[in-house]
Amino acid sequence: MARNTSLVWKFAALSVILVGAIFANLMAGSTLIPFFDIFSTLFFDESSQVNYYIIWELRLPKTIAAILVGFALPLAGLLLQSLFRNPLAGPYVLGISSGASLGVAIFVLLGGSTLYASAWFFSGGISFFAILGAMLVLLAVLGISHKIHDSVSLLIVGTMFGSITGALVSVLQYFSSPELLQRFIIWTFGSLGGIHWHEIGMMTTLVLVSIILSFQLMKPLNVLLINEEYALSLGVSVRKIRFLVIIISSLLAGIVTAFAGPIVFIGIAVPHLARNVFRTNDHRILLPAVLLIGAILMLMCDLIAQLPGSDIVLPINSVTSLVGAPVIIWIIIQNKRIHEAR
Amino acid sequence: MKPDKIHNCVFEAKNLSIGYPPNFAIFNINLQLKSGRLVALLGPNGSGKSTLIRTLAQLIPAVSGELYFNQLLVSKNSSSNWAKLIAVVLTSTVLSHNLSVFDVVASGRFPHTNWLGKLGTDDLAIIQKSLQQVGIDNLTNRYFHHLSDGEKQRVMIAKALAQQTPIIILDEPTAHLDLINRVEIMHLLQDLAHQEHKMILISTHELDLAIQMADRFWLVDEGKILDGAPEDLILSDNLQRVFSKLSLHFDPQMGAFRIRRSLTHQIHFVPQIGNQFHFWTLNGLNKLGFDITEKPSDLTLLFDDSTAKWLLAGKFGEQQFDNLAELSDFLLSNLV
Repeated sequence: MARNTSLVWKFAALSVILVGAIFANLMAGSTLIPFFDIFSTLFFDESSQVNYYIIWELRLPKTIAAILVGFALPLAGLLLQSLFRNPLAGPYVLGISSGASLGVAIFVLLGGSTLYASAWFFSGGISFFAILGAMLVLLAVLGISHKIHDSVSLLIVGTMFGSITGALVSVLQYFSSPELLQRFIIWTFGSLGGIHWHEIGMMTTLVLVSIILSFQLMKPLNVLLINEEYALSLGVSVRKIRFLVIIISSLLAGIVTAFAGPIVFIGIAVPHLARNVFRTNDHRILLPAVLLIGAILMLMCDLIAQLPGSDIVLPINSVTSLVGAPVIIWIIIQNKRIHEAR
Repeated sequence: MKPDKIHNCVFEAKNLSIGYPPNFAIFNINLQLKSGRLVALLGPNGSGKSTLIRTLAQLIPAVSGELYFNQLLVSKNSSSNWAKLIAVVLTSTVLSHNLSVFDVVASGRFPHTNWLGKLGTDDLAIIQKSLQQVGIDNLTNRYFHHLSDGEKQRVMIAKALAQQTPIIILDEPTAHLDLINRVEIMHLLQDLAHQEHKMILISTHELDLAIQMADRFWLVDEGKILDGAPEDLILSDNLQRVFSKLSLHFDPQMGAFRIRRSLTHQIHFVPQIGNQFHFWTLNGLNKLGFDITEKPSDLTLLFDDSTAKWLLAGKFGEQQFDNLAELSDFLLSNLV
């Protein structure tokens, strides 16, 4: 009983922090909007034109984008860490985000963005290519993981895939026209700010579908922690689980990369924070925990990136690196047996 | 399965072939496993024991043939129904480092719980009972990885019990265990078969232990399986034949393997059956490569019961020894 009580308290505390972080993100920026103004703008529509525009067209989509990214990448990270049984797995370190970048580069630099049928066509195309790129790299890494059982080696393979896709992107850039190149460079900076409402709609749909799909993975992933043969003997279809994890993490990493650019380290770091806060390997607790902590962390990173009170905005990518990279170093120091791929 | 239905179950393999065609490890066999029996699967290394175990547990597909449970074809079962029929204990290790004993045993409830895997009071009671049955209820909250090999094996057996299946299949459950744990695990399995009416199939290399504990042997013999009581298989000379090798022979009198040595020396010694001193003297002499003869020889050994001393006579003169270490030291240094 004591365990359940502390569980409820932890989730309640995280929820409160999440709500606080949401309001902080709406309030802070180049100008500070007081709490009550936000409240009245959102719910009573009684505000100045300027505040209305700032909140509805700039800060609210950005905040929702931050939450979606905070849901998506950590969830992909958790699923990948459990599937590979590797604490260092994640959408970025396994090269999956880089695969998505390559997809985007192919779409943008080969001129997909100039076939301006509509904004929807552009968003749909860019996300389709990003998801495809993510899935191809994930399938390649998964194939190689059957031959390598050392988790650090697998990590290096993932980094190599990142390098290969990076090189391909450079080649594409070299042969592209200046206008296309400019579009692509802007995308690579990665930003939560430039995401439009219709893109938020697409992201929300895909992220929610992925979350719902991954709920049915919670129970089998718990058994997969024991080992694959035992999971099989208990009636888990390991092939189905592997297939679902590939689909879900490619969807999540792809859609995020398509709209927010390459965002690093969040996917690998958050599952470890969740395990540390809740002291468990039970996916039924970890999955909601990862969503909550991920959203909070992304909102905080975005808040830092805004440098509240100034006109400068840091690239979100740099902020997540500053937060996420130390977490990885900490994992390696803490987990001395990491080489055994357990 | 309800306990009252568990008594007269039959698990059958019909026309089963396993291996990698065209080289079948085991070809076209029929097998029957009945409630309340402890069956030991034996055979030389590489004879296909592990493959057969994994095929019967449906972890890998059979090349051909069907499995039946109470005359019903089981391949038609969904995998979760299958998991309610057969529990396995394998040689593969538990991978995750921070699972508790409770977590591992609770995983046995997997096929019985809902999509969230929520454990009800019934499930908790079954887990508790399984832990008690294998005698590890004091370890419930320990980390699996901190346990000894014998304790780990008990945890996995408890997991199999928590799964509440009529059949339990174990791949070399006594490997890596010390003698006491080996015997205790076999006792536990025998009790589960005889008292809980489980069908228990184990693969093992421990012939002497299996002879003493198993109700039936499945003896892999060149792609076929000989099915019978261990005693019958010994009396019909089959066990000896399957396991006879140059360096080893099965002694049907002792019910154990003896190491076959080239006997380079002769000694005259008349052992009394049932005398411990004589028995272990023979063991010591065998080790040194002595052929024990009842005919006179150039060496003669006597054991004096009244003084508990060994007397050696013959080509090295008369010697007296207080213990077997002195005797073997003397023989070693003089014979080489």
